[in-house]
Amino acid sequence: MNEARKSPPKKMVVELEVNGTRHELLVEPRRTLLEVLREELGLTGAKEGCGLGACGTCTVLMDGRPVRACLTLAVEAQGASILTVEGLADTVADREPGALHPIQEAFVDAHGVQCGFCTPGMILAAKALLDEEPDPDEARIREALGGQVCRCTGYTKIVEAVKLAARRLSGEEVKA
Amino acid sequence: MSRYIGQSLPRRDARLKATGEARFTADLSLPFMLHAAVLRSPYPHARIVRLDTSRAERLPGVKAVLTARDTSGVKWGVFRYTRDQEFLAREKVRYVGEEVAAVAAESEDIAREALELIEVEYEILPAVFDPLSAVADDAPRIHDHAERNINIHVPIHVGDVDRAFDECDYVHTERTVSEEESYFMTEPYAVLAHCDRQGTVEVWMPNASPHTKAKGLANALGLPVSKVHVRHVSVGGAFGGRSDMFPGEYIAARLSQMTQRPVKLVYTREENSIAVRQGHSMVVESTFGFKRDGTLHAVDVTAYMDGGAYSSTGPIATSVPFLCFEQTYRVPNVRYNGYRVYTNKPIRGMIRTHGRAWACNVDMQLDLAAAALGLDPVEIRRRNAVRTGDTTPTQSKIFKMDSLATIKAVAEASRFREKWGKLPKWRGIGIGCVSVMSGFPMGIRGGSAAMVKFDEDAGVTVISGVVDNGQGNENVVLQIAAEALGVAPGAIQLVASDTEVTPIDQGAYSQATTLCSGNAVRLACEDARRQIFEIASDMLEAAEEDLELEDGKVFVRGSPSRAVPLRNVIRMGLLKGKNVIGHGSFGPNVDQTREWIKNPKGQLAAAFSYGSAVVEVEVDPETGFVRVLDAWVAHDCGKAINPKEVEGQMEGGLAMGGHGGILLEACKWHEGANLNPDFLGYKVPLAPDMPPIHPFIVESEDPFGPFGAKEGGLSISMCTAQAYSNAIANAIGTHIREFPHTPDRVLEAIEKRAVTGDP
Amino acid sequence: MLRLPHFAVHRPGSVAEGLQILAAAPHARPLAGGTDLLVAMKHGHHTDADLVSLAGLGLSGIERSDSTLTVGAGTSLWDLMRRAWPDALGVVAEAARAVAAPPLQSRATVGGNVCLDTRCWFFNQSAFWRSGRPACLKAGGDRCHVVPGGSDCHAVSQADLPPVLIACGAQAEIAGADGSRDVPVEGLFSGDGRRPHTLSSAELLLRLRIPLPPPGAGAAYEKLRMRRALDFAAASAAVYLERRDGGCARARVVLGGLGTKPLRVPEAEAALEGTELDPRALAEAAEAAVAAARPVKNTDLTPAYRRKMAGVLVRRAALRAWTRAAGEES
Repeated sequence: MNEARKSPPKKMVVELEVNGTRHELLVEPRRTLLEVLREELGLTGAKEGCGLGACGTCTVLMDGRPVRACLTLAVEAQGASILTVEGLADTVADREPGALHPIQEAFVDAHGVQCGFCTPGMILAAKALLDEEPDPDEARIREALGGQVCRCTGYTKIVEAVKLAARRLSGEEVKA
Repeated sequence: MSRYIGQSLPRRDARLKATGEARFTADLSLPFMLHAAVLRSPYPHARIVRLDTSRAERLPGVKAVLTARDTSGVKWGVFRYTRDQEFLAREKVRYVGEEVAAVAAESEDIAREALELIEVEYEILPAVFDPLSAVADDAPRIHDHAERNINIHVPIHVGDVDRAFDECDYVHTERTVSEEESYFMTEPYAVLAHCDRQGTVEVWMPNASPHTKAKGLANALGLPVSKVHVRHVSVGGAFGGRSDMFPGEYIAARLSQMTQRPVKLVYTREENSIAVRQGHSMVVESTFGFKRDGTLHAVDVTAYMDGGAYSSTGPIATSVPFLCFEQTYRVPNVRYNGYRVYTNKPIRGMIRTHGRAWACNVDMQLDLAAAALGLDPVEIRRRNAVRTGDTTPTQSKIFKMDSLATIKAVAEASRFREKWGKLPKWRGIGIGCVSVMSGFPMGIRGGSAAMVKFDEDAGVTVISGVVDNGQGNENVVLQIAAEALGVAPGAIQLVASDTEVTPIDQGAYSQATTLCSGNAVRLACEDARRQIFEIASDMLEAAEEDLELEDGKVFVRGSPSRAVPLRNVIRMGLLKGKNVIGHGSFGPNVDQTREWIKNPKGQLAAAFSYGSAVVEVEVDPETGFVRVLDAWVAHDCGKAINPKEVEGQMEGGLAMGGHGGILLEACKWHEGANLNPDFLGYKVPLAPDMPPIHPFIVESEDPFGPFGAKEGGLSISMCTAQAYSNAIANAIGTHIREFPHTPDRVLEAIEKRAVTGDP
Repeated sequence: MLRLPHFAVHRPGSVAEGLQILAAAPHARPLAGGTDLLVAMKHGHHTDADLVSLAGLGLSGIERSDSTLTVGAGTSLWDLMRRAWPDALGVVAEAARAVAAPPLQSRATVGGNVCLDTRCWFFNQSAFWRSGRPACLKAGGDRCHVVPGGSDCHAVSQADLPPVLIACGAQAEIAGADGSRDVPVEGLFSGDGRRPHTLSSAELLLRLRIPLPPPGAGAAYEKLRMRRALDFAAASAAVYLERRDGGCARARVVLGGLGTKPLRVPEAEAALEGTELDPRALAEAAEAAVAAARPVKNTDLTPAYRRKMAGVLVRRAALRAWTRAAGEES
């Protein structure tokens, strides 16, 4: 450890929009976006599976792109718009109270959820993909989810869930 | 016709998990909560000469420092005779990662800072890192009580093996070696403990058996079990790695006792990898003898398993690979010597694909024998598969098991026989089979019980010790309750895995949940039905045995208009002082005198599942990379209560046991230090790696399982490993004896074959 | 949670300001995407560093002139791989796409990948892990745990872009106190596993200039890794070829993941140049690559295997580059 530094550097002001709500936060410069989401804002949907960027359980969307919240300094997210799994359903216009986002629905309906620890990151990685490519083929889906480790499912039903979500989002298929 | 059994209903917990609402242990916090951190040994084997915590205690914000001095010295072991682990090292440390001290502080940062202020002086001792070196005469002794570092020896002898080999037409010996697998459940271990001023301890942690945890913790803390409440929490995967007691829960609970404040301890990924459990590495030597017609006549297997520093589930772990074998293929004469050996490595426990070097050795032997005897791999398995009515060498009766249907399903779907021997160069196809037991004798904690109660509006609450690690156990009992009560699962509440409320349950680590917890819930619901019919028979002026319960109505069979809403029956019961509370208790039909070491015979489990897999691969002969073209898996799980969930278990099992287990996963070491405790170094399969999987569910309708159901999923995790290994052998023309078959090993095998001209 | 050590974050608004801060604070480190640096810091490395965020320096973007493609060092891999490239340079996007996975590509930058630290089983471990043995050379100690007794650090260069950029003849624009200079990307690498780059701590990589290839050029990148995402290269090869009148007029062959820096293999280039990439030329190039590779046991897969793969990857990359070049030649 560094003996030279006894006192922490000054905290910095960070403005973030998280799930549509603006926050002005005073944070230590070393704090990650994941620490801020989980410990300052109480948004525990993003998990710390490894803290080193290699598992994907902390994946959130930053200005629409998937990022590792554990490897993104909060101060580097200054001014960004963050979407976590908690805010996903609210991105659906005029949704019924309690209704889920179609991707979340598809994960439930296609049995893409087992232990659930990877699910928030997985769903957000899928959202980033479908926002960019509404009709991805299977290889693209697997590539887009390539950084999200799931130890339970073998991915088959997760991939099926993303396909189902794509069909529902495009209106090709309506949820029964 | 079942209304809820066999239906792929969406899981109850899926919505919570898809929205981030589901709470895992690290997500929890309590007012006034402290944060804990653990000081671990950086050395594999060392004497603790001096341990000084005074500087840490003086750090502002530190509320308690815990060392072995503050513990009762109670040692943990799954069995009375395996109690060898103190939760904090007292005189010496035996592996890198062993707990030496712990701190509770106002913040995680302070707790970590305090660890750096704890002074430990170690005297480094010679260490040993593999089982064969550890049993050598001059090896360093890790535990005083264990000569030659042998922790467990499971000897099983049935028949006359030596004579039987003389009777064989084909006898062959194989030696296989595997490195350790690791669980890499996505959730790192975490504990939240709260000891209140009445001395009651509440604990949340990912676990596979809350009642086992509560008992172990009560022992260690010197409390009655009733004072330790293990609470329900979402669990991010287990795969066998959350089964027994770990120091983490003791440390958090003890620190909470010391501070009278809630204490949260969250492991890093590295801690989860090295300081919870790993799989055993193994060296397996087998001799198999066959008759000319391909029937297996005798086997002699010796396995050396690297158990790491402590016993954990040792006797079980040393037995299960053999048991899975004897349930899979018939053999009248067996000799098995399983040695679990202490080494200075992290502690090993049961893992989903337990013993790939063992299981794959068996199926390698079958393929080699088939080739020598002019059979194809499907045929030799058909001839040897254990089936309904058989009795295993260790005296387990197989009441119902449709092994042949699983073999047929995968062989036909894959067109195995059309492809065998006719695939283009570097393509290969392989098959593997395995049987998994639905539970084993676990004494007083070997069964499950459940209750069902009703609200005044006929709302149903099921109370069960069932624990769900992600595999869907909660949904299993919900669908069973729905079927038994004629009530939609959505209308049923479930109180599960909370030891203050729920009755003892065997837990989710012996594949017994569906059979035992499921039956207990079924029986509780049937008991409630009887009570409901008793009340309703007066109301409907009909005999109890003529009544039906469906869609929230009790009615007379054959005249559905003579009906009364369940709600009215419940209210009538309340008026009459007959509050309907159903109770069910289930113990599996097993021989409780069976013991892993002293008496390894008698009925092991009430039910046995079977799985068969075929895998087709293409090997890149220049790089040794294996591309899996297709995988077919068939599973006799008795009855699929929720088919999509069973498929999910099969697919996940293939990913872990087959794809990860054979192509990718291994712990790497340097002098007892795990080189890949992280998700980058340890190769859990990723979405782009996985092949198309074709699952087939075979339903043999188990006579003892709830609605015919038994173990679902594990069979596939194991048999896919065998199929992967055999398919690669078929593609490259030689078997690989080291597991996993990473590209470097595949290429080496190809090159060696080219040199030696091995066919 | 896994915590970072304390540090200050400077947020300069211009390159000049950034250089000033770097010059004034010897322990300051540039922070680009952070996907590698922050991992190292969580592992207890660089605990004395303050960070200089490059986000406000305006270094992101790709521009094309008649002769050159200029890629800002701050351009994310995400943007890089979504950009339409001239066919012969599609290999740059190919390499970017082979890095980690989308949530890392979104933050990781071109400059960060070029400046990616070397890696080693004994260095990329937690402070706890490393506390069990003396510090290695790369961590400031006096020994190598991979090659006991050795005095050189063998940490391996596993970045994906450098081999490709070198093969494509890219230049790097480096800014320091005395102004900026262009150096070939190849010149950025020192070959010392401890300090693998030639940039001084007061310099910044601003942009990369890739010459637009002539007609008939083609390039390919082969990456060998255990899994199809996340993993670093256990071995990789980039090959750039120029095809003229059916023959190979120019070849550049670079290995990754097989030494302390990206390894240019002139013998392999010579073996290809002047040939039609006949099997013999390919075999010679492969042999040269095997001879040039310097793997040690500090990452996935055995060194002997990785060395062998150098040849396979070079041959495969050369063949793919040749096919692409043929498509461009018309």
